[in-house]
Amino acid sequence: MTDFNKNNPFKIPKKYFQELEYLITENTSVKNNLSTPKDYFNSLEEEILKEIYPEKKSLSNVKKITISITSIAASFLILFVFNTFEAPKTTTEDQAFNDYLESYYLEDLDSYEMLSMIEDSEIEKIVNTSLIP
Amino acid sequence: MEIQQSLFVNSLKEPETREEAFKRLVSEYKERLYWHIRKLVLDHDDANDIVQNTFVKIHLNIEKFKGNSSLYTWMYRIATNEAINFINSKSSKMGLQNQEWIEAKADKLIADPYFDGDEVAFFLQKEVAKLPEKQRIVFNMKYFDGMTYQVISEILDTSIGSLKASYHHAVKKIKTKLND
Repeated sequence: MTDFNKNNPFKIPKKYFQELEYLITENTSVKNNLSTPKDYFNSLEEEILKEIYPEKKSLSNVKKITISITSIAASFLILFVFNTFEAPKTTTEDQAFNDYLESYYLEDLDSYEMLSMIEDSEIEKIVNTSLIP
Repeated sequence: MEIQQSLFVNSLKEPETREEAFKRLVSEYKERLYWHIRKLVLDHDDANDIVQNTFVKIHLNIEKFKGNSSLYTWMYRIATNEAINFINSKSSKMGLQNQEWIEAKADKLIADPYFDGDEVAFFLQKEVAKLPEKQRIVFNMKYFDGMTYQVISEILDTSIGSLKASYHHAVKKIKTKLND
């Protein structure tokens, strides 16, 4: 491999090559004629962050105590339920996400899509049929 | 660069620094991911829904990012998957093929207030919409975004040879239509 820095009297701005790829990409991209509403990207950032970090409301002391007690009770209940009815796990969360990433070209329908294809009346019919003893 | 990325990914994973790091991530990538998605689904409102879901998914799954690829390509892959899942879901609800759904969207572009192209630009979008899904995605990333085959290959997890073939076929089809 050629050593470009050997006897090279020239210098480049800091991080030049990191920014070069971005600049090339920016300048070679073709105008796509699609536009967005005014100030869209400012509001988009707010929307995303609001969805991920909803505003935390301050709670009164009574509410805090009630929530704490309820949480402890719920934890015991969950612990009990999981210890009693622990089902064998077939796939881990990690595997599921990796499958999602790799399933980019799979044409299989997921459960939401399958569900979306069933008419409401059909679902009602299935539920009613399964309720008949 | 790699060290910088791994430090940033660590700050995204650490509970104390997560929120601040995620704000930086959104600020840095929101526009690039939005435009990538927008070119795939064409409609602004659809792109808006998908880009928000993409960031939620990134936030929920950042722990699973192992650093095998760059953070940038990992996020692009999630955005691409989200856009394709969205198209699959919308088109199947309407009893259409994905391509039919996209073609219908492209036909409406001329009346879209967020499309400022002339007749040629409109014609080009309509022809791009007629391409098979993989060719359409590759054409958008290469022609409109000017991405290198190397980057596209990392995002779509496809060989460079296959991408070149897809792009070549797409360009050939569009050129033929433009010459007619």
